[in-house]
Amino acid sequence: MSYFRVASLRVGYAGQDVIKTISLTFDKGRISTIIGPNGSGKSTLLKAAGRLLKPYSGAILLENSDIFAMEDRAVAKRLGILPQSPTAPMDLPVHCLVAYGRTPHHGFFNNFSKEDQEAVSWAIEATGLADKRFKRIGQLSGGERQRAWIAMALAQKPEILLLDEPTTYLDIHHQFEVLELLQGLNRDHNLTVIMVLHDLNLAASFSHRIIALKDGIMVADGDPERVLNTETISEVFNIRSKVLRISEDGISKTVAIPLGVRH
Amino acid sequence: MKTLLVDPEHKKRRLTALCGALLLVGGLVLSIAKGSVDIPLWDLVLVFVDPDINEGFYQVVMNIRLPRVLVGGLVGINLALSGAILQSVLKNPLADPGIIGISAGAGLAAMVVMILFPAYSALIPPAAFIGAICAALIIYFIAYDGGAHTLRLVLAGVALSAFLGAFMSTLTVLYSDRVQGTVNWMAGALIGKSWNHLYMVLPYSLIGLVGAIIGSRYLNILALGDDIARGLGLPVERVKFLLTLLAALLAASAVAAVGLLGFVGLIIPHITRLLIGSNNRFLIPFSAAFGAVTVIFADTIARTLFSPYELPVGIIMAFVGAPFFLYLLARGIK
Repeated sequence: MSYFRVASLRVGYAGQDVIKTISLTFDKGRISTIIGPNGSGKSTLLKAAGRLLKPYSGAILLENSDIFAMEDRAVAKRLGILPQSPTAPMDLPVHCLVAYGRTPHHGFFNNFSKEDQEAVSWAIEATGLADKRFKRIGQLSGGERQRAWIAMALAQKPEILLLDEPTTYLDIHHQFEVLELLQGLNRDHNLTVIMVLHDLNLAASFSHRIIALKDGIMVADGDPERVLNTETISEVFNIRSKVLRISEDGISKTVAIPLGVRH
Repeated sequence: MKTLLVDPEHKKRRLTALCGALLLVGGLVLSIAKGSVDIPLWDLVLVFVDPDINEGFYQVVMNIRLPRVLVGGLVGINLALSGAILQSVLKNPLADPGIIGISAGAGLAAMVVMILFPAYSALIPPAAFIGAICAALIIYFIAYDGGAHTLRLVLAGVALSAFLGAFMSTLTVLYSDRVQGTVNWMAGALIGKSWNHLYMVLPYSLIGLVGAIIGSRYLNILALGDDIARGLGLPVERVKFLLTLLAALLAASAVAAVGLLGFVGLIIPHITRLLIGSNNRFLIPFSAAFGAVTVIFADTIARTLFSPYELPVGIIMAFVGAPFFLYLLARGIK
Protein backbone atom coordinates (compact mmCIF):
# COMPACT_ATOMS: atom_id res chain seq x y z
CA MET A 1 0.00 0.00 0.00
CA SER A 2 1.38 3.38 -0.92
CA TYR A 3 1.50 6.00 1.82
CA PHE A 4 0.62 9.29 0.15
CA ARG A 5 -0.28 9.33 -3.49
CA VAL A 6 -1.13 11.89 -6.13
CA ALA A 7 -3.08 9.83 -8.65
CA SER A 8 -3.56 11.11 -12.22
CA LEU A 9 -4.11 14.60 -10.86
CA ARG A 10 -5.50 17.26 -13.17
CA VAL A 11 -6.18 20.56 -11.43
CA GLY A 12 -6.14 24.31 -12.03
CA TYR A 13 -8.07 27.53 -11.61
CA ALA A 14 -11.29 28.70 -13.27
CA GLY A 15 -11.50 25.66 -15.50
CA GLN A 16 -7.99 26.22 -16.81
CA ASP A 17 -5.63 23.27 -16.36
CA VAL A 18 -2.45 24.14 -14.48
CA ILE A 19 -1.41 20.60 -13.63
CA LYS A 20 -1.91 18.32 -16.62
CA THR A 21 -2.12 14.84 -15.18
CA ILE A 22 0.60 14.06 -12.67
CA SER A 23 1.02 10.89 -10.64
CA LEU A 24 3.41 10.70 -7.71
CA THR A 25 3.89 8.38 -4.76
CA PHE A 26 5.43 9.68 -1.56
CA ASP A 27 7.02 7.40 1.00
CA LYS A 28 6.72 7.98 4.71
CA GLY A 29 9.47 9.91 6.45
CA ARG A 30 11.09 11.48 3.42
CA ILE A 31 11.71 15.07 2.38
CA SER A 32 10.57 15.78 -1.17
CA THR A 33 10.95 19.11 -2.88
CA ILE A 34 9.10 20.39 -5.90
CA ILE A 35 11.04 22.78 -8.11
CA GLY A 36 10.23 24.55 -11.32
CA PRO A 37 9.96 27.99 -12.90
CA ASN A 38 7.19 30.48 -12.11
CA GLY A 39 3.86 29.27 -13.39
CA SER A 40 4.99 25.66 -13.64
CA GLY A 41 2.24 24.57 -11.24
CA LYS A 42 4.32 23.89 -8.10
CA SER A 43 2.01 25.69 -5.74
CA THR A 44 -1.06 24.37 -7.49
CA LEU A 45 0.16 20.81 -7.04
CA LEU A 46 0.91 21.45 -3.38
CA LYS A 47 -2.49 23.06 -2.80
CA ALA A 48 -4.28 20.11 -4.35
CA ALA A 49 -2.21 17.70 -2.26
CA GLY A 50 -3.09 19.78 0.81
CA ARG A 51 -6.83 19.66 0.06
CA LEU A 52 -7.07 23.40 -0.60
CA LEU A 53 -7.90 22.96 -4.27
CA LYS A 54 -10.29 20.37 -5.62
CA PRO A 55 -8.95 18.32 -8.53
CA TYR A 56 -10.73 18.35 -11.89
CA SER A 57 -9.90 14.69 -12.13
CA GLY A 58 -7.72 12.20 -10.34
CA ALA A 59 -7.35 11.95 -6.59
CA ILE A 60 -5.08 12.52 -3.61
CA LEU A 61 -4.87 9.34 -1.58
CA LEU A 62 -3.67 9.05 1.99
CA GLU A 63 -3.19 5.34 2.67
CA ASN A 64 -5.64 4.67 -0.14
CA SER A 65 -8.37 7.01 1.20
CA ASP A 66 -9.34 9.95 -0.98
CA ILE A 67 -8.62 13.00 1.18
CA PHE A 68 -11.44 14.94 -0.46
CA ALA A 69 -13.88 12.26 0.70
CA MET A 70 -12.56 12.30 4.26
CA GLU A 71 -13.80 14.50 7.11
CA ASP A 72 -12.23 17.97 7.28
CA ARG A 73 -10.81 17.41 10.72
CA ALA A 74 -9.71 13.82 10.11
CA VAL A 75 -7.49 15.03 7.27
CA ALA A 76 -6.26 18.02 9.27
CA LYS A 77 -5.05 15.70 12.04
CA ARG A 78 -2.72 13.91 9.64
CA LEU A 79 -1.90 16.48 7.01
CA GLY A 80 -0.64 19.98 7.71
CA ILE A 81 -0.20 22.67 5.06
CA LEU A 82 1.54 26.04 5.22
CA PRO A 83 0.74 28.23 2.23
CA GLN A 84 3.20 30.81 0.96
CA SER A 85 3.64 33.87 3.21
CA PRO A 86 0.69 33.36 5.53
CA THR A 87 -0.47 36.39 7.49
CA ALA A 88 -1.75 36.65 11.05
CA PRO A 89 -2.92 39.62 13.12
CA MET A 90 0.19 41.53 14.18
CA ASP A 91 -0.81 41.51 17.83
CA LEU A 92 -1.34 37.76 17.97
CA PRO A 93 0.94 36.21 20.61
CA VAL A 94 3.10 33.31 19.43
CA HIS A 95 1.60 30.84 21.90
CA CYS A 96 -1.92 31.64 20.64
CA LEU A 97 -0.92 31.11 17.03
CA VAL A 98 0.66 27.79 17.91
CA ALA A 99 -2.42 26.80 19.95
CA TYR A 100 -4.60 27.34 16.84
CA GLY A 101 -2.72 24.39 15.40
CA ARG A 102 -4.65 22.19 17.83
CA THR A 103 -7.96 23.15 16.19
CA PRO A 104 -8.52 19.82 14.41
CA HIS A 105 -7.86 17.90 17.64
CA HIS A 106 -9.88 19.61 20.33
CA GLY A 107 -12.77 20.63 18.12
CA PHE A 108 -14.57 23.89 18.56
CA PHE A 109 -16.51 23.26 21.69
CA ASN A 110 -14.11 21.29 23.83
CA ASN A 111 -11.56 23.06 25.88
CA PHE A 112 -7.86 22.66 25.71
CA SER A 113 -6.77 19.28 27.09
CA LYS A 114 -3.46 18.37 28.68
CA GLU A 115 -2.48 16.70 25.43
CA ASP A 116 -3.19 19.91 23.53
CA GLN A 117 -1.14 21.86 26.04
CA GLU A 118 1.78 19.46 25.67
CA ALA A 119 1.66 19.54 21.89
CA VAL A 120 1.81 23.33 21.95
CA SER A 121 4.74 23.38 24.37
CA TRP A 122 6.56 20.75 22.33
CA ALA A 123 6.04 22.67 19.08
CA ILE A 124 7.29 25.89 20.68
CA GLU A 125 10.38 24.15 22.06
CA ALA A 126 11.06 22.27 18.85
CA THR A 127 11.11 25.49 16.85
CA GLY A 128 13.30 27.25 19.41
CA LEU A 129 10.69 29.84 20.28
CA ALA A 130 10.47 29.18 24.03
CA ASP A 131 11.66 32.66 24.98
CA LYS A 132 9.41 34.24 22.33
CA ARG A 133 6.26 32.52 23.58
CA PHE A 134 4.50 35.74 24.59
CA LYS A 135 5.92 37.92 21.85
CA ARG A 136 3.49 39.22 19.24
CA ILE A 137 3.79 38.15 15.62
CA GLY A 138 4.57 41.75 14.71
CA GLN A 139 7.56 41.76 17.06
CA LEU A 140 9.25 38.78 15.42
CA SER A 141 11.88 38.77 12.71
CA GLY A 142 11.03 37.14 9.38
CA GLY A 143 12.76 33.91 10.33
CA GLU A 144 11.09 33.76 13.73
CA ARG A 145 7.75 34.42 12.14
CA GLN A 146 8.24 31.54 9.74
CA ARG A 147 9.26 29.31 12.65
CA ALA A 148 6.13 30.38 14.52
CA TRP A 149 4.01 29.23 11.57
CA ILE A 150 5.89 25.97 11.43
CA ALA A 151 5.29 25.61 15.17
CA MET A 152 1.57 26.04 14.53
CA ALA A 153 1.69 23.33 11.89
CA LEU A 154 3.69 21.08 14.24
CA ALA A 155 1.20 21.54 17.08
CA GLN A 156 -1.27 20.06 14.64
CA LYS A 157 0.93 16.94 14.93
CA PRO A 158 0.63 15.99 11.27
CA GLU A 159 2.41 13.02 9.75
CA ILE A 160 2.82 14.93 6.54
CA LEU A 161 3.71 18.59 6.34
CA LEU A 162 3.30 20.49 3.08
CA LEU A 163 5.08 23.83 2.79
CA ASP A 164 4.94 26.34 -0.03
CA GLU A 165 8.23 28.21 -0.21
CA PRO A 166 8.93 28.31 3.51
CA THR A 167 12.07 30.36 2.88
CA THR A 168 10.63 33.26 0.88
CA TYR A 169 11.73 36.68 2.08
CA LEU A 170 14.27 35.16 4.45
CA ASP A 171 17.98 35.90 4.40
CA ILE A 172 20.37 33.02 3.90
CA HIS A 173 20.89 32.42 7.61
CA HIS A 174 17.16 32.16 8.27
CA GLN A 175 16.69 30.02 5.17
CA PHE A 176 19.09 27.47 6.58
CA GLU A 177 17.58 27.81 10.03
CA VAL A 178 14.10 26.93 8.75
CA LEU A 179 15.28 24.08 6.54
CA GLU A 180 17.54 22.60 9.22
CA LEU A 181 14.55 22.70 11.54
CA LEU A 182 12.51 20.70 9.02
CA GLN A 183 15.40 18.32 8.49
CA GLY A 184 15.65 17.75 12.25
CA LEU A 185 11.92 17.11 12.55
CA ASN A 186 12.13 14.66 9.67
CA ARG A 187 15.05 12.85 11.28
CA ASP A 188 13.78 12.84 14.88
CA HIS A 189 10.04 12.48 14.36
CA ASN A 190 9.84 10.80 10.98
CA LEU A 191 7.86 13.76 9.65
CA THR A 192 7.13 13.47 5.95
CA VAL A 193 7.90 16.79 4.30
CA ILE A 194 6.75 17.87 0.86
CA MET A 195 7.69 21.41 -0.04
CA VAL A 196 8.09 23.87 -2.85
CA LEU A 197 11.43 25.68 -3.06
CA HIS A 198 12.76 28.21 -5.51
CA ASP A 199 16.42 27.68 -4.79
CA LEU A 200 17.89 24.63 -6.50
CA ASN A 201 20.85 24.34 -4.17
CA LEU A 202 18.74 24.54 -1.03
CA ALA A 203 16.48 21.91 -2.55
CA ALA A 204 19.47 19.67 -3.27
CA SER A 205 20.92 20.16 0.22
CA PHE A 206 17.83 19.31 2.19
CA SER A 207 15.83 16.83 0.14
CA HIS A 208 15.81 13.10 -0.36
CA ARG A 209 13.98 13.62 -3.60
CA ILE A 210 13.46 16.41 -6.10
CA ILE A 211 10.51 16.68 -8.45
CA ALA A 212 10.91 19.14 -11.34
CA LEU A 213 7.84 20.62 -13.01
CA LYS A 214 7.46 22.65 -16.15
CA ASP A 215 4.17 23.86 -17.63
CA GLY A 216 2.20 21.53 -15.41
CA ILE A 217 4.11 18.45 -16.46
CA MET A 218 6.65 16.48 -14.47
CA VAL A 219 10.03 16.70 -16.16
CA ALA A 220 12.28 14.95 -13.67
CA ASP A 221 11.91 13.00 -10.44
CA GLY A 222 14.59 11.40 -8.31
CA ASP A 223 17.32 11.98 -5.76
CA PRO A 224 19.10 15.35 -5.96
CA GLU A 225 22.27 13.91 -7.52
CA ARG A 226 20.24 12.52 -10.40
CA VAL A 227 17.89 15.44 -11.00
CA LEU A 228 20.47 18.19 -10.68
CA ASN A 229 22.30 17.97 -14.00
CA THR A 230 22.91 20.51 -16.72
CA GLU A 231 20.44 18.92 -19.14
CA THR A 232 17.51 18.91 -16.71
CA ILE A 233 18.28 22.41 -15.45
CA SER A 234 18.48 23.60 -19.02
CA GLU A 235 15.17 21.97 -19.87
CA VAL A 236 13.30 23.16 -16.80
CA PHE A 237 14.67 26.66 -16.26
CA ASN A 238 16.02 27.44 -19.68
CA ILE A 239 19.46 28.39 -18.36
CA ARG A 240 23.00 27.19 -18.88
CA SER A 241 24.64 25.91 -15.74
CA LYS A 242 27.51 23.95 -14.31
CA VAL A 243 26.88 21.28 -11.72
CA LEU A 244 29.56 20.60 -9.13
CA ARG A 245 29.89 18.02 -6.40
CA ILE A 246 31.74 19.40 -3.46
CA SER A 247 33.00 17.90 -0.21
CA GLU A 248 33.93 20.33 2.50
CA ASP A 249 33.96 19.95 6.29
CA GLY A 250 32.54 16.48 5.87
CA ILE A 251 29.52 17.82 4.02
CA SER A 252 29.04 16.68 0.44
CA LYS A 253 26.72 18.63 -1.77
CA THR A 254 25.57 18.84 -5.31
CA VAL A 255 25.61 22.46 -6.40
CA ALA A 256 24.29 23.98 -9.58
CA ILE A 257 25.87 27.21 -10.68
CA PRO A 258 23.81 29.17 -13.20
CA LEU A 259 25.93 30.56 -16.03
CA GLY A 260 23.35 32.48 -17.99
CA VAL A 261 20.13 32.40 -19.93
CA ARG A 262 20.05 29.88 -22.74
CA HIS A 263 19.57 31.43 -26.15
CA MET B 1 11.77 27.11 31.66
CA LYS B 2 8.70 28.46 33.44
CA THR B 3 9.58 32.10 33.40
CA LEU B 4 6.35 33.48 32.01
CA LEU B 5 3.25 31.36 32.15
CA VAL B 6 0.67 34.10 32.22
CA ASP B 7 0.08 36.28 29.22
CA PRO B 8 0.96 39.84 30.33
CA GLU B 9 -2.13 41.02 28.46
CA HIS B 10 -4.38 39.54 31.15
CA LYS B 11 -4.05 42.59 33.38
CA LYS B 12 -4.83 45.01 30.60
CA ARG B 13 -7.95 43.08 29.67
CA ARG B 14 -9.12 42.95 33.26
CA LEU B 15 -8.63 46.69 33.59
CA THR B 16 -10.50 47.32 30.36
CA ALA B 17 -13.32 45.05 31.54
CA LEU B 18 -13.55 46.99 34.78
CA CYS B 19 -13.63 50.34 32.95
CA GLY B 20 -16.22 48.97 30.54
CA ALA B 21 -18.43 47.77 33.37
CA LEU B 22 -18.14 51.10 35.18
CA LEU B 23 -18.94 53.00 31.99
CA LEU B 24 -21.94 50.76 31.33
CA VAL B 25 -23.38 51.22 34.82
CA GLY B 26 -22.52 54.92 34.78
CA GLY B 27 -24.10 55.31 31.35
CA LEU B 28 -27.26 53.53 32.43
CA VAL B 29 -27.64 55.67 35.55
CA LEU B 30 -26.78 58.93 33.82
CA SER B 31 -29.06 58.19 30.89
CA ILE B 32 -32.00 57.37 33.15
CA ALA B 33 -31.41 60.40 35.39
CA LYS B 34 -30.90 63.00 32.67
CA GLY B 35 -33.53 64.40 30.36
CA SER B 36 -36.27 66.98 30.15
CA VAL B 37 -36.91 66.17 33.82
CA ASP B 38 -33.69 65.62 35.79
CA ILE B 39 -34.05 63.01 38.48
CA PRO B 40 -31.69 63.35 41.44
CA LEU B 41 -29.70 60.18 42.11
CA TRP B 42 -31.34 59.51 45.46
CA ASP B 43 -34.83 59.81 44.00
CA LEU B 44 -33.77 57.43 41.26
CA VAL B 45 -32.81 54.85 43.87
CA LEU B 46 -36.14 55.39 45.62
CA VAL B 47 -38.03 54.69 42.39
CA PHE B 48 -36.76 51.15 42.50
CA VAL B 49 -37.38 50.83 46.22
CA ASP B 50 -40.98 51.99 46.31
CA PRO B 51 -42.94 53.27 43.30
CA ASP B 52 -45.36 55.21 45.48
CA ILE B 53 -42.83 57.68 46.89
CA ASN B 54 -42.77 59.76 43.74
CA GLU B 55 -45.37 58.67 41.22
CA GLY B 56 -44.15 61.12 38.57
CA PHE B 57 -40.55 59.97 38.65
CA TYR B 58 -41.73 56.37 38.67
CA GLN B 59 -43.71 56.89 35.47
CA VAL B 60 -40.82 58.66 33.76
CA VAL B 61 -38.28 56.02 34.70
CA MET B 62 -40.33 52.88 34.23
CA ASN B 63 -42.36 53.77 31.16
CA ILE B 64 -40.12 56.13 29.25
CA ARG B 65 -36.45 56.14 30.14
CA LEU B 66 -35.68 52.61 31.28
CA PRO B 67 -37.10 50.84 28.20
CA ARG B 68 -35.54 53.45 25.98
CA VAL B 69 -32.11 53.06 27.54
CA LEU B 70 -32.32 49.28 27.45
CA VAL B 71 -33.40 49.25 23.80
CA GLY B 72 -30.49 51.59 23.08
CA GLY B 73 -28.09 49.26 24.87
CA LEU B 74 -29.31 46.19 23.00
CA VAL B 75 -29.21 47.95 19.67
CA GLY B 76 -25.65 49.06 20.44
CA ILE B 77 -24.72 45.46 21.24
CA ASN B 78 -26.29 44.15 18.03
CA LEU B 79 -24.72 46.72 15.74
CA ALA B 80 -21.27 46.46 17.31
CA LEU B 81 -21.33 42.66 17.06
CA SER B 82 -22.58 42.79 13.49
CA GLY B 83 -19.75 45.14 12.55
CA ALA B 84 -17.11 43.08 14.38
CA ILE B 85 -18.24 39.90 12.62
CA LEU B 86 -18.44 41.52 9.18
CA GLN B 87 -15.01 43.12 9.52
CA SER B 88 -13.50 39.72 10.29
CA VAL B 89 -15.42 37.63 7.77
CA LEU B 90 -14.95 40.09 4.90
CA LYS B 91 -11.39 40.91 6.03
CA ASN B 92 -12.37 44.50 5.51
CA PRO B 93 -11.81 47.21 8.10
CA LEU B 94 -14.57 49.37 6.64
CA ALA B 95 -17.25 46.71 6.85
CA ASP B 96 -20.25 47.90 8.81
CA PRO B 97 -23.87 46.91 8.28
CA GLY B 98 -24.73 50.54 7.49
CA ILE B 99 -21.88 51.16 5.10
CA ILE B 100 -22.15 48.00 3.04
CA GLY B 101 -25.91 48.28 2.58
CA ILE B 102 -27.18 45.54 4.89
CA SER B 103 -29.01 48.06 7.08
CA ALA B 104 -30.63 49.62 4.04
CA GLY B 105 -31.93 46.20 2.97
CA ALA B 106 -33.30 45.59 6.44
CA GLY B 107 -34.70 49.12 6.54
CA LEU B 108 -36.59 48.86 3.28
CA ALA B 109 -38.12 45.51 4.21
CA ALA B 110 -39.07 46.79 7.66
CA MET B 111 -40.59 49.92 6.16
CA VAL B 112 -42.66 47.94 3.70
CA VAL B 113 -44.21 45.98 6.57
CA MET B 114 -44.65 49.11 8.71
CA ILE B 115 -46.39 51.05 5.99
CA LEU B 116 -48.23 48.46 3.93
CA PHE B 117 -49.06 45.93 6.64
CA PRO B 118 -49.16 47.98 9.84
CA ALA B 119 -51.23 45.31 11.59
CA TYR B 120 -48.37 42.81 11.42
CA SER B 121 -45.69 44.66 13.36
CA ALA B 122 -44.44 41.36 14.78
CA LEU B 123 -43.28 40.55 11.26
CA ILE B 124 -40.98 43.57 11.15
CA PRO B 125 -37.85 41.82 12.50
CA PRO B 126 -38.16 38.71 10.29
CA ALA B 127 -38.89 40.90 7.26
CA ALA B 128 -35.88 43.07 8.11
CA PHE B 129 -33.78 39.92 8.40
CA ILE B 130 -34.81 38.78 4.92
CA GLY B 131 -34.10 42.27 3.57
CA ALA B 132 -30.69 42.27 5.23
CA ILE B 133 -29.81 38.88 3.77
CA CYS B 134 -30.89 39.92 0.28
CA ALA B 135 -28.71 43.02 0.55
CA ALA B 136 -25.80 40.92 1.82
CA LEU B 137 -26.17 38.52 -1.11
CA ILE B 138 -26.29 41.34 -3.65
CA ILE B 139 -23.19 42.93 -2.14
CA TYR B 140 -21.46 39.58 -2.06
CA PHE B 141 -22.02 38.93 -5.75
CA ILE B 142 -21.09 42.44 -6.81
CA ALA B 143 -18.07 43.04 -4.65
CA TYR B 144 -16.62 39.60 -4.02
CA ASP B 145 -13.83 38.59 -6.30
CA GLY B 146 -11.74 35.96 -4.57
CA GLY B 147 -11.78 38.27 -1.55
CA ALA B 148 -13.79 41.33 -0.68
CA HIS B 149 -11.75 44.26 -1.89
CA THR B 150 -12.10 47.12 0.56
CA LEU B 151 -13.07 50.04 -1.63
CA ARG B 152 -15.10 47.94 -4.03
CA LEU B 153 -17.19 46.67 -1.15
CA VAL B 154 -17.71 50.15 0.23
CA LEU B 155 -18.63 51.61 -3.17
CA ALA B 156 -21.06 48.78 -3.85
CA GLY B 157 -22.54 49.39 -0.39
CA VAL B 158 -22.94 53.10 -1.04
CA ALA B 159 -24.68 52.44 -4.34
CA LEU B 160 -26.96 49.78 -2.89
CA SER B 161 -27.81 51.99 0.10
CA ALA B 162 -28.69 54.87 -2.22
CA PHE B 163 -30.81 52.60 -4.40
CA LEU B 164 -32.73 51.09 -1.49
CA GLY B 165 -32.92 54.52 0.14
CA ALA B 166 -34.71 55.79 -2.96
CA PHE B 167 -37.40 53.16 -2.43
CA MET B 168 -37.72 54.15 1.19
CA SER B 169 -38.06 57.82 0.28
CA THR B 170 -40.68 56.96 -2.31
CA LEU B 171 -42.67 55.02 0.26
CA THR B 172 -42.52 57.86 2.76
CA VAL B 173 -43.79 60.31 0.16
CA LEU B 174 -46.55 58.08 -1.20
CA TYR B 175 -47.76 57.06 2.23
CA SER B 176 -46.96 60.22 4.10
CA ASP B 177 -50.27 59.89 5.98
CA ARG B 178 -49.28 56.51 7.39
CA VAL B 179 -45.76 57.35 8.34
CA GLN B 180 -45.08 58.92 11.66
CA GLY B 181 -41.62 60.00 12.65
CA THR B 182 -39.98 58.82 9.44
CA VAL B 183 -37.26 61.39 9.76
CA ASN B 184 -36.37 59.93 13.12
CA TRP B 185 -36.50 56.40 11.82
CA MET B 186 -34.33 57.13 8.79
CA ALA B 187 -31.67 58.63 11.05
CA GLY B 188 -31.99 56.03 13.77
CA ALA B 189 -33.68 57.26 16.90
CA LEU B 190 -34.67 55.94 20.30
CA ILE B 191 -37.49 58.43 20.82
CA GLY B 192 -40.57 56.72 22.22
CA LYS B 193 -39.09 53.24 22.47
CA SER B 194 -41.16 51.10 24.78
CA TRP B 195 -40.99 47.74 26.49
CA ASN B 196 -42.54 46.24 23.35
CA HIS B 197 -39.51 47.32 21.34
CA LEU B 198 -37.29 45.82 24.01
CA TYR B 199 -39.06 42.47 23.83
CA MET B 200 -38.81 42.63 20.05
CA VAL B 201 -35.01 43.06 20.05
CA LEU B 202 -34.09 41.02 23.10
CA PRO B 203 -34.40 37.50 21.60
CA TYR B 204 -32.28 38.51 18.62
CA SER B 205 -29.67 40.07 20.86
CA LEU B 206 -29.48 36.91 22.93
CA ILE B 207 -29.21 34.65 19.88
CA GLY B 208 -26.70 37.05 18.36
CA LEU B 209 -24.57 37.33 21.47
CA VAL B 210 -24.42 33.57 22.02
CA GLY B 211 -23.78 32.99 18.32
CA ALA B 212 -21.05 35.60 18.21
CA ILE B 213 -19.31 34.23 21.29
CA ILE B 214 -19.35 30.73 19.81
CA GLY B 215 -18.34 32.20 16.47
CA SER B 216 -15.39 34.09 17.96
CA ARG B 217 -13.27 30.93 17.85
CA TYR B 218 -14.01 30.52 14.16
CA LEU B 219 -13.29 34.20 13.55
CA ASN B 220 -9.86 33.75 15.10
CA ILE B 221 -9.06 30.88 12.76
CA LEU B 222 -10.44 32.77 9.75
CA ALA B 223 -8.11 35.65 10.62
CA LEU B 224 -5.18 33.40 9.65
CA GLY B 225 -6.40 33.30 6.07
CA ASP B 226 -8.71 30.93 4.22
CA ASP B 227 -5.99 28.44 3.28
CA ILE B 228 -4.66 28.09 6.82
CA ALA B 229 -8.22 27.78 8.13
CA ARG B 230 -8.98 25.02 5.63
CA GLY B 231 -5.72 23.31 6.49
CA LEU B 232 -6.84 23.28 10.13
CA GLY B 233 -10.03 21.46 9.15
CA LEU B 234 -12.43 24.42 9.14
CA PRO B 235 -15.24 24.26 6.55
CA VAL B 236 -14.44 27.84 5.55
CA GLU B 237 -17.28 28.60 3.13
CA ARG B 238 -19.96 27.23 5.44
CA VAL B 239 -18.57 29.06 8.46
CA LYS B 240 -18.37 32.37 6.59
CA PHE B 241 -21.92 31.95 5.33
CA LEU B 242 -23.30 31.25 8.81
CA LEU B 243 -21.39 34.13 10.37
CA THR B 244 -22.67 36.50 7.68
CA LEU B 245 -26.22 35.33 8.41
CA LEU B 246 -25.61 36.04 12.07
CA ALA B 247 -24.31 39.54 11.30
CA ALA B 248 -27.34 40.19 9.09
CA LEU B 249 -29.69 38.98 11.83
CA LEU B 250 -28.08 41.26 14.40
CA ALA B 251 -28.17 44.29 12.13
CA ALA B 252 -31.73 43.56 11.01
CA SER B 253 -33.10 43.37 14.54
CA ALA B 254 -31.43 46.67 15.40
CA VAL B 255 -32.84 48.34 12.30
CA ALA B 256 -36.29 46.88 12.94
CA ALA B 257 -36.31 48.51 16.36
CA VAL B 258 -34.71 51.91 15.87
CA GLY B 259 -34.17 52.51 12.17
CA LEU B 260 -31.01 53.27 10.27
CA LEU B 261 -28.60 53.92 13.10
CA GLY B 262 -25.19 53.99 11.46
CA PHE B 263 -21.50 53.86 12.35
CA VAL B 264 -21.83 51.92 15.61
CA GLY B 265 -20.70 48.75 13.86
CA LEU B 266 -17.80 50.59 12.28
CA ILE B 267 -16.39 52.52 15.21
CA ILE B 268 -16.83 50.17 18.14
CA PRO B 269 -14.87 47.14 16.89
CA HIS B 270 -12.00 49.43 15.88
CA ILE B 271 -11.77 51.17 19.21
CA THR B 272 -12.16 47.89 21.06
CA ARG B 273 -9.37 46.39 18.96
CA LEU B 274 -7.12 49.32 19.88
CA LEU B 275 -7.86 48.75 23.54
CA ILE B 276 -7.64 44.98 23.92
CA GLY B 277 -6.25 43.64 20.64
CA SER B 278 -7.68 41.57 17.84
CA ASN B 279 -8.32 38.25 19.61
CA ASN B 280 -12.01 37.72 18.88
CA ARG B 281 -12.64 35.81 22.08
CA PHE B 282 -12.21 39.12 23.85
CA LEU B 283 -13.04 41.46 20.99
CA ILE B 284 -16.57 40.09 20.62
CA PRO B 285 -17.79 40.46 24.23
CA PHE B 286 -15.92 43.75 24.72
CA SER B 287 -17.35 45.15 21.48
CA ALA B 288 -20.83 44.23 22.69
CA ALA B 289 -20.28 46.05 25.98
CA PHE B 290 -18.76 49.14 24.36
CA GLY B 291 -21.50 49.18 21.72
CA ALA B 292 -24.11 49.38 24.48
CA VAL B 293 -22.12 52.06 26.33
CA THR B 294 -21.70 54.16 23.20
CA VAL B 295 -25.32 54.15 22.10
CA ILE B 296 -26.51 54.87 25.65
CA PHE B 297 -24.14 57.84 26.02
CA ALA B 298 -24.84 59.12 22.52
CA ASP B 299 -28.56 58.97 23.16
CA THR B 300 -28.14 60.87 26.42
CA ILE B 301 -26.31 63.58 24.50
CA ALA B 302 -28.95 63.52 21.75
CA ARG B 303 -31.71 64.03 24.30
CA THR B 304 -30.07 66.74 26.35
CA LEU B 305 -27.91 68.77 23.94
CA PHE B 306 -30.70 70.94 22.51
CA SER B 307 -33.31 70.25 25.14
CA PRO B 308 -36.27 70.50 24.85
CA TYR B 309 -35.56 69.39 21.27
CA GLU B 310 -34.37 65.82 20.85
CA LEU B 311 -31.99 64.76 18.14
CA PRO B 312 -32.13 61.22 16.79
CA VAL B 313 -29.18 59.32 18.27
CA GLY B 314 -28.11 58.42 14.72
CA ILE B 315 -27.20 62.06 14.12
CA ILE B 316 -24.80 62.06 17.06
CA MET B 317 -23.31 58.80 15.79
CA ALA B 318 -22.89 60.32 12.32
CA PHE B 319 -21.15 63.38 13.77
CA VAL B 320 -18.62 61.08 15.38
CA GLY B 321 -18.66 58.19 12.94
CA ALA B 322 -18.27 59.91 9.59
CA PRO B 323 -14.98 61.63 10.53
CA PHE B 324 -13.79 58.34 11.98
CA PHE B 325 -14.60 56.63 8.70
CA LEU B 326 -12.60 59.29 6.83
CA TYR B 327 -9.75 58.83 9.27
CA LEU B 328 -9.69 55.09 8.53
CA LEU B 329 -9.69 55.84 4.79
CA ALA B 330 -6.92 58.41 5.14
CA ARG B 331 -4.80 56.03 7.18
CA GLY B 332 -4.18 54.26 3.92
CA ILE B 333 -6.47 51.29 3.60
CA LYS B 334 -5.90 49.65 0.28
